Amino acid sequence: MTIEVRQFRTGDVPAIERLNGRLAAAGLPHRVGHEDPRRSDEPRLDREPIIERLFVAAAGDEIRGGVWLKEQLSWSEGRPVRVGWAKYPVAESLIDAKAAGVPASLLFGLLRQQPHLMALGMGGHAGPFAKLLAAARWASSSLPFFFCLLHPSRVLRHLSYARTTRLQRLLADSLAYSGLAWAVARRTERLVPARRGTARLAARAPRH
Amino acid sequence: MSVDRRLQAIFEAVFGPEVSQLSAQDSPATIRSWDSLNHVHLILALEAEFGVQFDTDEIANLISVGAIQRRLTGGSSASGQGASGISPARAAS
Repeated sequence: MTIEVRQFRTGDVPAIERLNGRLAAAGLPHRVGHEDPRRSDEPRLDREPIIERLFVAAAGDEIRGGVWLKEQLSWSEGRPVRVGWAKYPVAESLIDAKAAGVPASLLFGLLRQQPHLMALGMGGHAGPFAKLLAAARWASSSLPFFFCLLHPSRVLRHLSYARTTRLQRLLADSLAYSGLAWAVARRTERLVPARRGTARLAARAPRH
Repeated sequence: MSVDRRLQAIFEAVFGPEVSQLSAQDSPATIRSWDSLNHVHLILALEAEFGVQFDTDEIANLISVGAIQRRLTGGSSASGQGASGISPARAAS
């Protein structure tokens, strides 16, 4: 399997769907998305505040993984700096040992595109992506993270993590459609001051 | 020390005693702990030991001991990609 990490091409969509099919067949909920195939121009930061591009690990006609690179302008020492963060990495290594090198290749491929790279919100320090970054010697720290649910029923209907089992989906839909979620959220907001949770920030460490 | 002995030492450090006798055919299929996480450890250990930096595309293709041996001794990796010999540093590094 010869792997090439490159930017998404319109013709990749069928191969991405095949990858998603293999992941689904193995019972995994992870999916690689794709850019809008109708979009012909490159996203530009002078037109949009945040741009995103998909990078894929291609092996011939097949796609073995993908990761989104989101970018925006930040400020450093009074100058605008383009920074990026890695989102939704998915690789076939989850189901095929022969693809064990794909996540590392995607990660280093993103670094080649955007050296000012970070990642945020990876499900905690023990998550697979967080562990991969730690193995690559990224510095990481926990950050205060505050949630304010403006539309709790929408969150319950669309947040996949809250809908992983049939019972959870039933409960989430009940709360969402009955209006109970909204009532609970409003009441909690009044009674409980913003609570500190933790998210995870991983910033790239110097390589050597 | 020969490339093979240095490789043996790195593999034992990364994957443990399971790899006491490396062969060129060893890969994630034969070394159970050779997963994506340990692949990162392996790549960084190889880069540190041999003073090289692998190209991005090479990283995914160095998934057998034979491919790594060929890459480090001046041949191409299993993929056939990349120039032979030691490549320049990754652009992002």
